[in-house]
Order: sequence, then C-alpha cells, then structure tokens
Amino acid sequence: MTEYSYYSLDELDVIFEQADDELATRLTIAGSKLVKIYKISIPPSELVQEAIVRLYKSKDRRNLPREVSIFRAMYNIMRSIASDEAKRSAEEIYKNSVSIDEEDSNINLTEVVLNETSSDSSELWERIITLFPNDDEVLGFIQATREGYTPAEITKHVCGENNTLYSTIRRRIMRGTSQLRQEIH
Amino acid sequence: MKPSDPRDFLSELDIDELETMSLIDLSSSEFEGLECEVKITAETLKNAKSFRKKSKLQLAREALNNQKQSVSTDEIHTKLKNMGKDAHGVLIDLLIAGKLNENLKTTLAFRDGNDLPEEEAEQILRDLVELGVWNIEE
Repeated sequence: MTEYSYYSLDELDVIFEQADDELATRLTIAGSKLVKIYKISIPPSELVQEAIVRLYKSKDRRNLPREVSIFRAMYNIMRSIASDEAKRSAEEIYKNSVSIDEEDSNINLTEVVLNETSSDSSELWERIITLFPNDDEVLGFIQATREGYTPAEITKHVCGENNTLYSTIRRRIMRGTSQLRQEIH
Repeated sequence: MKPSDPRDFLSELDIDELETMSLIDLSSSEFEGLECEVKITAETLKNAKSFRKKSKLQLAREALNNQKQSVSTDEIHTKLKNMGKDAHGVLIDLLIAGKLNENLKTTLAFRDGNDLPEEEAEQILRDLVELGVWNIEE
C-alpha cells in the first residue's frame, strides 16, 4: 500500500498563492462536470472553495498528499463533496415529500433514500455493463467496483496483484465509457 | 461491503482526461459559460489563506464559548453561595414568583416525588439565565 506524506498548512498557503490560471481553469471545468453528473445546484467555484475550507478546517481536516498532483487531490475532495451533497439533497427532497403521518413513524430516512436511488444506480450500472458485452476482465472489474471493492482489493482479487493489468483494464473502461460520460455530463 | 454509486465510478474515470487533456482542447469542449466561474476560482485560490484565518477564528470562538460556559457555571455557583441557597431553592423561588413558563412548570411538576439532581437544577438555572428569566446580576 502506498504510504503518503502530506503538505503542511504553511506549504498549502504557498501552493495556493502560486496557483496559476491553468489550475483554476481545470478545477472549474472539473467542478462543472461534477455538478452535472451529481445533479447538484452548487456553482463549480463553490466546490473549489469548499474543498479549500476542508483543507484548512480545524476538525476532520482533509490533507493533500505530496505524492499526488494538486489538481488530482483537489478533484478527489470536490468529488466527495459533490457526492455527499447529492445524497443530502435526495434526503431533503424525500423529507419534504413525506406526509406528517409518515414522519411520525420511525423510518430510517437514509435507508429509504438509498432504496429510492438504488433503482437509478442499478440502471446506470446496467448501462455501463452493456458497453462491454464480451470483455470478462472489464466486467469483473466493474462488478467488483459495484460491490464496493477498493482499487487495492480489485488489484488483488480481480487482477491477481498485477498493477499493470489493473491500469490496462481501467484504460479500457475509460475508452469504452467515454461517450456515456459525455452524455451524462 | 457497501455497494458503490456508479456516479462515483464514472467521475473517477474523468480525472485522467481532466488532468492531461491540453487546456485548449479542454476549454474548447467544456469552457463555454464558465469564464466568470474561472475568475472566481482563481480569486478563491489566491485568497485561500483567508480560509485558514477563518478556521483559526472559528477555533478561537469555540474556545471562547467553552470559556463562557464554564464562567457561567462558576458564576451560578458563586451566586448560589452568596444567596445561601441551592439551585432547587432558587427554582422554587422563581416558581412562586410566577417567573417560570408553563412548560417548565409541567416539567418540574412531573418530577414531584422524584429527586431532581442538583446538577440538573443548575443546568435549568443556566438555561433560565440565557433566556433572561433569572437575572444573575440582581
């Protein structure tokens, strides 16, 4: 497993102060894609801002690893914010749609929302799977991801500890899903 | 194991393209309507340090609030000592003076026959100070 070391807060100050327009452009475009894929109503620049806030937070602070590019690390934080926001919005919408009687019962809101959204998830997973009808390696990779395996677990169980095979399959999935990703963005 | 969201999977696949695609290619396909957002992002990055200051400020504020809470507890203890009463005694005085609202009266009434711990009574007094029902300065 990769061992990471992280930038200090002083180093972060310098990194952001020296950030060029290219980083701002890439992060904004990335944010815009996340807003569309997760169907959230946050401007891309706010996703960037929230990511920065989380890097400087006093509690539960996120860290930037030195071994990963600033763009990549920031994108991953923004992705997690967008994903959380999508779940929060789904819960909010459900909460506002239940009647007072239903509110009285002890229902687990998160579970209900997960069940409601799982049919959308299944549909999207099926769309992804149908793009690779004859590729067992890709299908194994996708199935493992769908079941919640981490990249390290997929490398171990699906790719026989072969990192190169992991990257090759991932690249095939990237190419194969290119159009689908354009469509849903 | 928790099943994963296909959107997480697809957005993870975007990362390589977003990072390696030339800015010209990326901008020509994705940039439309984002000029203003890019400017705001650039400003946000340049001023990132201010979020660190805000975070420090937040910490200081939390510390101050904790301090206020403990001062308030100490003040209540001192006040009770000066009055020669315990928290129960003060609550009874306030009840007799008609200063407690119905909800609190009901709460206290239902405790009848059961011991209200002194600590809980002090907590009620702290709440009453915050609500302006009991003036600790008097």
